[in-house]
Amino acid sequence: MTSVNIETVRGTIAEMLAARDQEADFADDESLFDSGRLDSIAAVNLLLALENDYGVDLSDPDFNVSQIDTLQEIVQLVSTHQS
Amino acid sequence: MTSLDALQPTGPSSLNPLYWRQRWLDMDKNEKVLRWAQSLWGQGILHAAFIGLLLSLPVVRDKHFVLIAFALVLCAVFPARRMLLLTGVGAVYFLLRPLKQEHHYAFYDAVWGSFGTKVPADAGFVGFGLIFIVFAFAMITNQKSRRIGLIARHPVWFMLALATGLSAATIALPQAHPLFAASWISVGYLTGSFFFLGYILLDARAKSALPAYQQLGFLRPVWAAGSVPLKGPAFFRKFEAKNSVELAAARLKAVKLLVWAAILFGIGELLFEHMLFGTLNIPHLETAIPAIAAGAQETLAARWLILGVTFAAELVAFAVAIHVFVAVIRMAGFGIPRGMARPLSSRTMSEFWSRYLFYFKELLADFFFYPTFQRCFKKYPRLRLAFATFMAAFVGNVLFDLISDAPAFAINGFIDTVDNYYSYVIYAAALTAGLIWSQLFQKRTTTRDGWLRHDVVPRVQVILFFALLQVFDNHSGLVDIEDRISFFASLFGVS
Repeated sequence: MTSVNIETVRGTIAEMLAARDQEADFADDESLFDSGRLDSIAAVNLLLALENDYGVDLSDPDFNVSQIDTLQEIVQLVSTHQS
Repeated sequence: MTSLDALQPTGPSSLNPLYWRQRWLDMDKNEKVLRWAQSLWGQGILHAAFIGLLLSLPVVRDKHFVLIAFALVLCAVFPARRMLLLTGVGAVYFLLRPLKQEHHYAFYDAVWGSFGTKVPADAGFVGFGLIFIVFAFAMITNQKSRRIGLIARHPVWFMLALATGLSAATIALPQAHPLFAASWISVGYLTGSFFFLGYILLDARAKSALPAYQQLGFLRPVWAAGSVPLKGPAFFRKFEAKNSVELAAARLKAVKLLVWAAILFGIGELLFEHMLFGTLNIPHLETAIPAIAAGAQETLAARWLILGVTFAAELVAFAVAIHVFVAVIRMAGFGIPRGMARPLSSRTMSEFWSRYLFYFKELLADFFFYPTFQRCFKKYPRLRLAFATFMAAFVGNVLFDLISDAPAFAINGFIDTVDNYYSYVIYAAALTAGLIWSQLFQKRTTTRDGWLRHDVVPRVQVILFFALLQVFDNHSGLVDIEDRISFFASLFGVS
């Protein structure tokens, strides 16, 4: 398990956006999934990365995918799990 | 210069329609237009134009239109209180229109009549609605307090178990039994609000959650004519305009989307209803299937034509409906994404599903896909993805309609209602197989693969798949499953 690096996560998301013909630039508080910019496959890839790279427990009943809709929220979720 | 560059307006020209099209599309980013839209005159004209255009489109029914117009005017007059106002009007809408389908209302009248009261049936809605609101309030507060831990952890499973038990009672009890009426009305309210309440409960613990009494306004938001909730309160808070510029931009986007809906409606009426289905007398798919089964002679080309025309007509009709309701939400100051965005440009089946039915796909993902993905087959990535997709696209998809139809078990009979699902089960199974294949095996092309392999072939495959699927996308029971299978086979020359 590694500590969260916001630029690494940003890079991963930017690649997902580019692969879907979307602009790779996005703000930290910009909606990624609810806005439809990224689809459920991208969400799955991100969930897997959170699980494998940062040890986030997705089976936690309190976890809801809407908690990772922005870069800010993703980083906050990982930080919470690691603290 | 590429061929695409040639399509771009090269400079200001009052004669170049592409220039004006671009100006129109960019108006929510144009500072002058945004300033105008914030002025009193601008707000007045935008609202008058929006409400007038909405009235001209036969998507929203008369009474519902009045409620929507009333809500929009309230939001315009008191913009700082618009969430409170919308949830208030939503609560009124829920009390007046709690059930999901028209024939449920007719049966409700009969059930109400069995009480032998002279009080109007509509008054009963308010009474039963208030009882259901107490139930929903208790569910919301339990999500926060977790007093009953099991229900707080699995609120949707609890509602499903409750709906199943009540539906079983409506099937088992004779209609004259005193408990029948209570069971049927409970089923009607619970299933009519099932996923609306589900979203409220999913959002109840969110940091940005609304006060519980306001969340009740999302049991039937004012824009919710259909059975698919366009997500829940937390989603709306995320897209709520935070200042007057964002509010003006949301309203301008609303007007643009409604105008686009009106154009599509015009295309639907002129091209499909008047010309293709009217003048050229091309039958609709649901008419053609039983007619061909009964012996009508249609060539192979004509059958494919019927399939293609119906697919395109359905696409346009659905686009009009979803654009109208998203436009209403935007006009109220919530810049939510469109419900349909260029579906025919999809290169994969899962992309089409997202682009065509964004909010329905979101519902299936939120309630079925992600919960399954989070918990099942974590050591087997491909199986994990495939099973989560199966739970959403097949189980969730069929369950969504079965839940909506639950009040009909007592009206039409359980077996007869379920019998109508054979076709839809085939549809859901084929859709699931297509989505799993798309997610696990479909090769993602790039521009390096060339125009034909990147832009044409994948899109044709996707369109063909979904056009063929519509043969089975129906659970009205009006057309026999044998006739549908026979028609489907005949498209490939098998008789």
